[in-house]
Amino acid sequence: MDLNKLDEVIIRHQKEKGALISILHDIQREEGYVSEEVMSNLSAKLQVPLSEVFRVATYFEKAFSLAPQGKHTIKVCQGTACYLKQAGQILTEIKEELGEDGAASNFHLEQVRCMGCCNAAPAVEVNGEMLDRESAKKTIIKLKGEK
Amino acid sequence: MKVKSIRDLNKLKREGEKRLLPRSARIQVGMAPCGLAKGAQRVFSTLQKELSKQGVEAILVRVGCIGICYAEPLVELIIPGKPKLTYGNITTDIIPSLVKGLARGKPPKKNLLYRTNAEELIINGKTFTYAARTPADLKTTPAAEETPFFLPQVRIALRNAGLIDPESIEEYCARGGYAALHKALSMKPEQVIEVVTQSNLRGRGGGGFPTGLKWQTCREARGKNKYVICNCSEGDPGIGMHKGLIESDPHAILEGLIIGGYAIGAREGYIYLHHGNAPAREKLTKAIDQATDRGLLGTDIFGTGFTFTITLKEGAGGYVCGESTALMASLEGRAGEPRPKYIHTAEKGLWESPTNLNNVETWCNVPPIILRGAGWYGKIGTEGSKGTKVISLSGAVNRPCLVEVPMGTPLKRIITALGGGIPRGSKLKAIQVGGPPAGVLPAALAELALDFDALYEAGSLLGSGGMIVMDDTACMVDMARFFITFLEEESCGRCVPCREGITRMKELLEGIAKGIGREEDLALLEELARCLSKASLCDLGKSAPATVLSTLRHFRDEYLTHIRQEVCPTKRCTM
Repeated sequence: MDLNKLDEVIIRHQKEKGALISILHDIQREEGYVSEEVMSNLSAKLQVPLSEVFRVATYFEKAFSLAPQGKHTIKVCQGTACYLKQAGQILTEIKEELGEDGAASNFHLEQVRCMGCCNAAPAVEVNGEMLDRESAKKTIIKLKGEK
Repeated sequence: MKVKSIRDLNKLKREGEKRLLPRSARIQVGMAPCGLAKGAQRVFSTLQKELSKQGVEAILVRVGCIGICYAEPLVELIIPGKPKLTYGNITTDIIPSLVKGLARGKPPKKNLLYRTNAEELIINGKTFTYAARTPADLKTTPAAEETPFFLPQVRIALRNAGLIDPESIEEYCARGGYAALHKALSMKPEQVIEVVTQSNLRGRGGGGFPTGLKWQTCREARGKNKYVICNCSEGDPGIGMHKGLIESDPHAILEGLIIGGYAIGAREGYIYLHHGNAPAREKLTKAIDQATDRGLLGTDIFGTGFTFTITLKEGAGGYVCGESTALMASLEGRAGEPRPKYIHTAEKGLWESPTNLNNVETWCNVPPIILRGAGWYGKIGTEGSKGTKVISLSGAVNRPCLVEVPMGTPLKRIITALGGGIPRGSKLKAIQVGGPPAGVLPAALAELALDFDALYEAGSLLGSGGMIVMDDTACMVDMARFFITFLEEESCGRCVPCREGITRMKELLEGIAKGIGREEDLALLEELARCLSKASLCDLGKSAPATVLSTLRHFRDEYLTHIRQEVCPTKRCTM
C-alpha cells in the first residue's frame, strides 16, 4: 500500500476515537493483507508503538492476515448446527478438491463459526455468496477452471 | 426533511404506508442469510426481469427474515384489497405464473403457504390491515395467525422482521417506529428508567441482569461522558438470530439505543458489530445515515435539545469480544482481552467512563415497553422472566426457524410446534438452549420452561437463545470435544486457568473419543472444570466447562462406554 493511500485511510477515520482496528480493516479490505511495511508506517503516522499495532493485528488473526491471501475466499461453517450436519466432512472434501493440481494458492479457505444459515446447514460461502453443499462444490470446480 | 414533531413523524409514516400498501402491488422477497443460502438472490432477479417482461407494475422489495427459514426462498404478495399471501420454497420456474396471477388479481395457489388479513402492531397495539374480508377463492388457505407456527409466537423484538424493507426508515415509521422515542423524550430520564425497571426486562445476552437496574447504576455513576453500547458481537457457534435481527430491522436497535442514551445521560452510542458481516454493516450504516438525515440522531432531537450520535464499529472476531470488558477494549482499538470486573463497567467502562452495554435483543425490546408501558409487558411471560425470547432453532428438527415466544413456553413445545418435531426415525437426545455456556439438557428435561430461573436451576442457561436440538445420531463425548475445541481456539490466553485448563480438558476428551481414555479421566475432567469455573478471569472461562460438566452429569454412561468398550456407539468420534 503506498503512503498516499494509507494517508487516505487514516484521514477517513481521523475523527474516530481508537480507530486502529477500523484502519486495519480498511487496509485488509483494500490490500488483502496487512504488510510489515504498512504496520511500521501506520505506527509512525498514528504515533502508536509498532509493538501495539503488531499486537492488535495478530490478536485478531481471523480478521487480519499478514501475508497475501488467495483470490477466492471460501468460508466453511463449523458452527454447532453445521457440525451436527457433518460440516467437518465438507471441509475435508473441499481441502481435497483444492489440493489437487495445486489450486490451493488461488483460494483462501477459512473455517468460521456460524454464518446465520443454520437452516441450510452445512453452509459454505464462496466469494461472499452463501451456498449449500452441492452448489458450493460446483462453484469451486468452476473457479478452479478459471485462469 | 428533519423530523421535529409528531406531525413530521406522521408524514414519514404516511410515506411508508404508501410503500407498504401501494396502489399497484408489492412483492417481498426474504433476503436474510437463510434466504440467500437457498437462492433468494436468483428469485429476486428473476422477479425483476419477469415484472418488466410482462409489463406489470409492482414495488419489489428485499425484506429480512420472517422466520420460516425451512421454507426459503419466501415471496410475499400484497395486492390491494386482498390478504397478504406468503409463498414458500419458490423456484424460478413458477415466477412467471406468480407475476401473471398478480397482474390479473388471481394469485396462484401453488406453493401458497398462508394468508394474512391483518397483523397486530405489537409496538402500539393497533391493527395493520391488508384486507378486511377474505375473498371466496382464498377461504381454504390457512390464516397465518392460526397456523401452529405463528400461534405460539409473540413477536416483540422481531416485530418488523421480514415485513419491512430494512433500508427504509419510512417503512419502519409506518409500523409505529420512532413514536416511542418521541414519547421517551417527553418524559424525564428518571421516568424512562422507572418504566424499564417496572417492566422487569432482563438482559437477553445471557446473564439475565435486570436492565432497569443496570441503567440506573450507570445514570447515577459519576462521569462527564457516558456511553451506551449495543453488543452485536455474535461469536456463539450456532446462533443466527442476531444476524436475523440486525439485517431485518436495524432502526429498532437505533431507537432502543437512543432512548437508553437519553435515560442514562449519554450523548454517544456505539454499535459493536461482529467481524465479517457485510450485509449487517451496510444496513446499520444506512439506518444511521437515514436517522441522522431526519434529525432523529444528532443535535436537538425532536426539538428537545437532546443530542445523541451513534458510531458503528466493526469488531475483529473473537468469541471473547462478546464479553463486556473485552468488547470495550476492542472498541478502543486495542486487543480484545477482558479485565477483572471488581470495578463495574457502569462506573468505569469505555475510555474509563460510565458505560451501559446491552445486547441487540434487549435494545429492540425497549421501544414497545416505553410506548405500551410496563403493565402491558408484565402480562407476557412468567413471574421471574417477563416478556419473550427470540430463539434461533436448528439442529435435528424438521423446520429450522427464527421465532419469538413468551417466556414460560416449554422447550418441547418449541421443538414440536415451531420446529416441526424431530426427523422421522430418530429420537430426541439432548438440547442446548443458549450456546456453549448453557451446556446440554437431556431429553428427559424437555418439559422445562423457557425461563431464566427454571433453566438456571436445571444447571443450564437461557443464554443468547441459539437453541440446538440433538438426536440420537449425536455423540455427547463428541459434542463436549467440539465445544472445548472451539473454546480453546477462542480463549484469549490472558489467564492461566482458561488457557491451560481448556487445553488439558481437550486432551482428555480426545483420549476418550479415541478409545484410549481411563475411568479416572472423568474425575480429572470434573476437577479441571471446577478450577476453571472458580478461577478464570472472565465469564467465558468460567462457563467454558459447561458442556463437559452437563454431559458428564446427564450422559455419564456414554463416556463410560467410550472408555470401557473403547468405541463410540454413534461413530461420530471417529469420523
